[in-house]
Amino acid sequence: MRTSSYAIYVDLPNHRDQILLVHGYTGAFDRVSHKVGAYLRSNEVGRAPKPLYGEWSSEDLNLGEVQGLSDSTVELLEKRGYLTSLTPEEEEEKFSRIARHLHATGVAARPSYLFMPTYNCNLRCSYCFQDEMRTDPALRHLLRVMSPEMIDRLFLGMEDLEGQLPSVEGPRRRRIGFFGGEPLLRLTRPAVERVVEKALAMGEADFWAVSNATELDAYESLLGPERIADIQVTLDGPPAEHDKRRIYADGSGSYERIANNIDMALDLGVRVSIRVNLDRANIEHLPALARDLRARGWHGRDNFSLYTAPIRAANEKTDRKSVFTSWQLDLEIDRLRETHEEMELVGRPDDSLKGKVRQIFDKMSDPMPDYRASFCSAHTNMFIFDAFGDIYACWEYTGDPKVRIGSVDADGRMHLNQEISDTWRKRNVTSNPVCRKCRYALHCGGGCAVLAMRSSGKFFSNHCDHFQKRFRASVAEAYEDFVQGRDSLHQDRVCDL
Amino acid sequence: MKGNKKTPALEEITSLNVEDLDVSELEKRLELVTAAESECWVFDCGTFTPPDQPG
Repeated sequence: MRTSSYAIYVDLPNHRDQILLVHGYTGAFDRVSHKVGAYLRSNEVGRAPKPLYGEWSSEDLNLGEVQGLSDSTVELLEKRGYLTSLTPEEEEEKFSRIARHLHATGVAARPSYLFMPTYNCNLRCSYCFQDEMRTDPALRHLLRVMSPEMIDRLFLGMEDLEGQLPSVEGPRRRRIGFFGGEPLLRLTRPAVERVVEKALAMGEADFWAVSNATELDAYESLLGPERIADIQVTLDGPPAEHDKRRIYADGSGSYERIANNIDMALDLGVRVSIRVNLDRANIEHLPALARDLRARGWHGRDNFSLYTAPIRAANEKTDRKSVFTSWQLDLEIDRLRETHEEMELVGRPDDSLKGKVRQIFDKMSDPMPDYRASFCSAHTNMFIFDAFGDIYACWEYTGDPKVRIGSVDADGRMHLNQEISDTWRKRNVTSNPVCRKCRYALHCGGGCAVLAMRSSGKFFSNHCDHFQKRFRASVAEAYEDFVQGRDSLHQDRVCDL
Repeated sequence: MKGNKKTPALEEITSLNVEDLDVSELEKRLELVTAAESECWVFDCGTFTPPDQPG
């Protein structure tokens, strides 16, 4: 018997006599004494992982204690997966079978659709990952708006696709998103309205959009719980800071226009999720943004939330030294929360992860349905349509027919490029050796493929983004909130629809 | 690696989620994860938007 290769040790800064154990594929979450922790660490085949903060103390590693466990405790550790009689190779194969099954289930899920009515955008944000589409004259042809005929064709393609898929039990409610470029321009309103009306003619549907909200006033009658019900809007700081970053082509700012449109959307019952893209230059402006939003009264609205994300170095204008990892941003926001009470309305990148763990404690639930055998729906069931009838899997990789997973022909038939589609749909935590051996893999999903490509040049590679630290810190914080009876921050938003 | 025969101290291990979880029933639990449930995390449930989406 040895310690499972997928045992996770979560040290608790406020409870030095205990640690939490999490099992990476059985789903067990347990609180154990130091003695049990030391016992498991001493039975690791390789080197036991370091704790999140500092080093294991001599007390933590008191191997003299490891013989002191009862048979019943050993039996319980085996039952919950922490001890195993499998060899490391056999256990890795077992883990892979589980991950492959979960991934196949995700691929078999009903399609999720994303319409890109245009690649055009009225803003010129410096960090934009699609910057070249608006600045390179050779790509100007991409900036057209989706025509009514193309929309009709794409809906035939959706029917064609759904007819080819195995049926999934349960009521069918399509999820349709809008992304761009900027999808909700005044110019694209007829296209968006046509998509909404055609989808509702086909059956029930939920609509959401990622928008800069500069021209949202043109969509007033299309917004609300029965139409476009969820919108993510980006604000990158208080007015003066935002207006340096999210600018029009003439250099002018966009904050006031966006804020007025958010007011309107909130009044119409739209759930508005503010995203703040942060780097080392605007992080200190975050409390001022929080104060501004509070002054506008948004923080008290049930349909308002705000989260943060690190800017990624996606183009040559973004200085790699200026960016945070997700973990670094978590820590920066913790620091600001200590001195600015208004920061309570600002979500960290990993508050969602913490919320999910808190739910496991609150409901004594099984995490298995939430396991992620792949990072996002680019690897399972997302179909992204552009104005040319091309289909993509990932919205970071669009506009280039060489990477499209398929297209819809003039008769509305969907044609998938099996080789490219398989490349996207087969990436999961079993498709590289690092993730296959990783204790955290089913909570992480292997990381973003695009970021993995940028950092290693390999599509089928891991992108960890400090997930080991982020997971353990989230579990420890969720546990502390749980035992203290503090409110959960978790917000089930779209999935509660 | 035999432990001794004493009764397990309750404080040695306390389950924080599924109390009767048993690794031998893993396959059965796995079968219960349905495609319908898998649809949910396209939004990374809880944050509305998928992780690491562009701004």
